[in-house]
Amino acid sequence: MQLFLKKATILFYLFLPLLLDAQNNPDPLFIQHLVGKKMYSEVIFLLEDLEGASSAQTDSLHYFKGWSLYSLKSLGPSADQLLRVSPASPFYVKSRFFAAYNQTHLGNYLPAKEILLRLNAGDREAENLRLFQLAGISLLEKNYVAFENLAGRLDTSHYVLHDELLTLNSCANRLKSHRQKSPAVAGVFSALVPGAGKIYAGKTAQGISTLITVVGFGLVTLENWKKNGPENFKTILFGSVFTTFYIGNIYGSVYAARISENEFQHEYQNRILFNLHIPLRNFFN
Amino acid sequence: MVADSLFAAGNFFEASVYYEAALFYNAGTLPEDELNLKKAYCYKFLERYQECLTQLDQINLVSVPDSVRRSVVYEQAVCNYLAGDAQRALMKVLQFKQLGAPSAEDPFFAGIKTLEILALNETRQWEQAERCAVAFVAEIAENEEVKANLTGRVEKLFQKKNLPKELKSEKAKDLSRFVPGLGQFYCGRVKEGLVSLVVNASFLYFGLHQLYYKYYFTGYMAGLGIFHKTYFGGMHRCEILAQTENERTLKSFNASCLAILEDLYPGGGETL
Repeated sequence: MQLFLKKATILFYLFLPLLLDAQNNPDPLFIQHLVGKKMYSEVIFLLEDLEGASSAQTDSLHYFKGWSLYSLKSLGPSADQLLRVSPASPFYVKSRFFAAYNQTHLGNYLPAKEILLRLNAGDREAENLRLFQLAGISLLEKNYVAFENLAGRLDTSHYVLHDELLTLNSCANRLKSHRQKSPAVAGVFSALVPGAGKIYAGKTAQGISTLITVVGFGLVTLENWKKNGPENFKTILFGSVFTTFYIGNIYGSVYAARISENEFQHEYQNRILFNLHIPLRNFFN
Repeated sequence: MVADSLFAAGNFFEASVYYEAALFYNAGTLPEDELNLKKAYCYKFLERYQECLTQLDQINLVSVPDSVRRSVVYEQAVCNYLAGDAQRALMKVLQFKQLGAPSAEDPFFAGIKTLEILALNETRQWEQAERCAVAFVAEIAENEEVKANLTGRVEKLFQKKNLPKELKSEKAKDLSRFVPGLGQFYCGRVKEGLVSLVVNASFLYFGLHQLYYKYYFTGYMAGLGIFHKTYFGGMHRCEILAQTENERTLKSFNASCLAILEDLYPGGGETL
């Protein structure tokens, strides 16, 4: 073990300069090796102080750092790194696409569109992918005219885009036909018939459960009122329980409508993002 | 060596990166298996046990010297145990023993024995765990007095009445189905069981009482309706209680066991 340590010490000091280039940046080959082994935290650690003028080497390092941050779902810093990759780099087009996707995922649609609009994708397939991404962003912005215009320009003969465009079209149709649930209407419905607001908001099981509970306690209160009079302790107790449940049912229905709307929007946003992501991964991997 | 210095300074993450660099730039000069082992140590100290095990799996046990092979199997046993897989840890302990029975002078001796006892406890193999603990005491006790004292403590700890009772979730649930609160009694929560019994009985009585006096809605909704909720809620609670109680008692038993072993071999637990 002693001998091993001695040998290791000598050799490590010999290797150490190989880790760094003239600008004190780590060796891209080693970084690529770490990315290949999915050791993303290690890549970010080594590239923490990445500096120096743009060159093929620093371009690669910015790309690897951006890719590692993207893999660790740190999308904002990932976009920053990927945008530093210069057009001379073989990673340039991929970096721009993923930087735009990161911005899209973060809801920054304007910067995402700017990245894609300024990108000269090069070949026809990449150009098609660029249009597809722009169409997806338009759909996320609910700009249906722009979506249809961009989708119409797409060449769907390529396998990467064909199925995803069908899904995007289906999302667009569903979003266009969707009628927003009004919290006020849900509240009024529940005031008239307990639980009806929740059924209107799409939470049928919750609505039925609420209806049974509120009506049940209403009947209990009524029964005690009739038999014992309004001033009886049981009437007051169950009347209070009924009132609490009744008001809670209205309040809950207002929230259910909001939650339901958020769930719908969130579901479709995720579906669109997923469909933007799949062709990117298929195209570049 | 930078990696070793970082390791010695407790900067295990940084050390792991430098060991990886050493592996990457190594052109067959350095023993790769030893570098892998050192990198695995980094992951172990970072409590990234699965990554540690993956790193250890990269070591070819056939080609390494005996000392490295034993270190690798030992670390596999430890990391499996720390990753919560006591069964696999025991398998590795067995493999370690097959590489040569550890003697009292062996640096792994205390660690492997402690690990074996704890893993046997976790898998509820009490008799074997007791035999192992008694043998451990006999092998390294300084004198007869210490040996007798610690053996007595081990035997007392492993008496049937002191062993953690394995509570069965299904049984706890069924007991509460039969009499509300009985499942909690079974799990050792007497006060909670009494409260559950009183609450359930009160709502049931209230419901039946109201129905008897023809308060049908009150009896059904406020009495039986709430009784239904507390009754089934109590059953579900008993299932969870049995599981958490099993974990608690086992942890407590292992802590007692470790306290005895610490008196026998100070720092034995830490060697893991």
